[in-house]
Amino acid sequence: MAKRWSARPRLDCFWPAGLVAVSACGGSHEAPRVDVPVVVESGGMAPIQTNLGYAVELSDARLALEDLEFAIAGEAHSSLWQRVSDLLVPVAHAHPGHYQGGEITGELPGHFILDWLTSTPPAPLGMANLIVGNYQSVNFTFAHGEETDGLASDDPLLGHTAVLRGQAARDGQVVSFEARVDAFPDRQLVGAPFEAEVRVDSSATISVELLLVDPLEGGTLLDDIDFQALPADANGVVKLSPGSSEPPLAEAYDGLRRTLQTHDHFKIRVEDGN
Amino acid sequence: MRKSGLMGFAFALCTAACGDEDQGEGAVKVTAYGESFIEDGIPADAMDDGWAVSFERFDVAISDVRVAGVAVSVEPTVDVSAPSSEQGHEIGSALVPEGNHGNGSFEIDRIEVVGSASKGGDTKTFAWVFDQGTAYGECDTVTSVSDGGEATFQITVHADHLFYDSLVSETPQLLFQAMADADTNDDGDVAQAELAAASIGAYDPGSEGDVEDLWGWLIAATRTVGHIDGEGHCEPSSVE
Repeated sequence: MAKRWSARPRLDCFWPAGLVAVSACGGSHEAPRVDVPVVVESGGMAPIQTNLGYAVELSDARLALEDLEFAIAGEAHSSLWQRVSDLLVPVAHAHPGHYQGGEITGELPGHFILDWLTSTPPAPLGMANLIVGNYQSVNFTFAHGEETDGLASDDPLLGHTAVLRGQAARDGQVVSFEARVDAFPDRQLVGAPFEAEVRVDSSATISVELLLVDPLEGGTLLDDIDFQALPADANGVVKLSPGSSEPPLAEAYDGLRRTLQTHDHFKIRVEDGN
Repeated sequence: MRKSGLMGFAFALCTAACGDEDQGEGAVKVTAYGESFIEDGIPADAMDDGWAVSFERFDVAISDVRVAGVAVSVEPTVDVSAPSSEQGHEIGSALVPEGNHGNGSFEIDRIEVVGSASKGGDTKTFAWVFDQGTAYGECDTVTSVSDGGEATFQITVHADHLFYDSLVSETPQLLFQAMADADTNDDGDVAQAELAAASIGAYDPGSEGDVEDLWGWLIAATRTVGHIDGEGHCEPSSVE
């Protein structure tokens, strides 16, 4: 999938609707930009109760991702941005799906490992660059953990998109589990809520949380997984991973992957220091 | 899509500003085409799991066709599985002003698919009806009409989308195995109720994640089958 932001030149001016010619942008039309720090927040990591009655506590929750994109609300201003951008650089349309949400006017390019438990929050990710305005959503691309991320050769995140480890307890029985999740290649998460006003005088921080509980519908990231019914390995650990040949494990893995790839369990918000 | 939409807008501006009373007109022929994948079937080597799919019937109900701002009356239903010598089936025509016209649109109101899939010694039949209408707007094409000439606005139906394993990937796999497995009563026919009872498994519904069973999956997939002039995209929206 084309990385929309990184494939585009920066456009710091907008043309009246009747003018489709693309030429040098005048400085007098430049939209203000701001650099905003992005951090990982662990607020959503409290123990949860799943729909099957398991009390689950995680000891490891990490995700590899690339290229956060911040999408602005509004139509006239933003659609013109998109259209002029498309004239300059053809953008590959998702097929059969299509790009959804607002227009992208902010970015934090790069490859990142988000660690919600073992690092000290709020852990800095980088500085995002955004045009000022009212934002509505965030996109990012799922990636895989790499050696260049500093992962040890036996790190379960190496070569995978996400790792969730912990314990699930029900009726006095405790099950240890480890899930290694692989997203589809170049799979982009589109439309994580990010309702925020970014102003030129903002002293803001953007935080990224993984939410174990969907704040809108109440479902958890680990719903429908019957841990006690799943086969464990020789060490007594239930392992969910790609390519499992055992149907119950495969079904549990598929469900977890689908849920993790939705925007329901991510929360991006801005805290303005002003 | 947006690129040609802007071009179409530019053409429209030019037409409005530069037109005169002597502007000519030409014909636009509207066709519906299922391509080789529907007329001849999807061969096993085009699928990613070795199933081959053929269509006995692929009825598409099309309405609200607009080209160059002109409503084109069309045949209510066309079976795009019938051979068409790669030309598609003409379903209507209209006279429109000469010029280069973008932003064509149409609706697909209903799709009825009858066919079978085979792999090795296994054959599964299916007969599915999807009556969830989809409007396709802002179609990514420019229909060039000369004075006295004839242009074609081809509504292209992509049957392979029904077998994608992702609603969002640019490089989905083409699979039938999950649908074959949904035939839980093993009568050889993959019924709507069986698909509705089957999880989408490893399929990827996208960031919304609101499709959970294979019948819902097919409904979502049918909303993406409409294209223009081959590979041109349109903006789909559901019709209530």
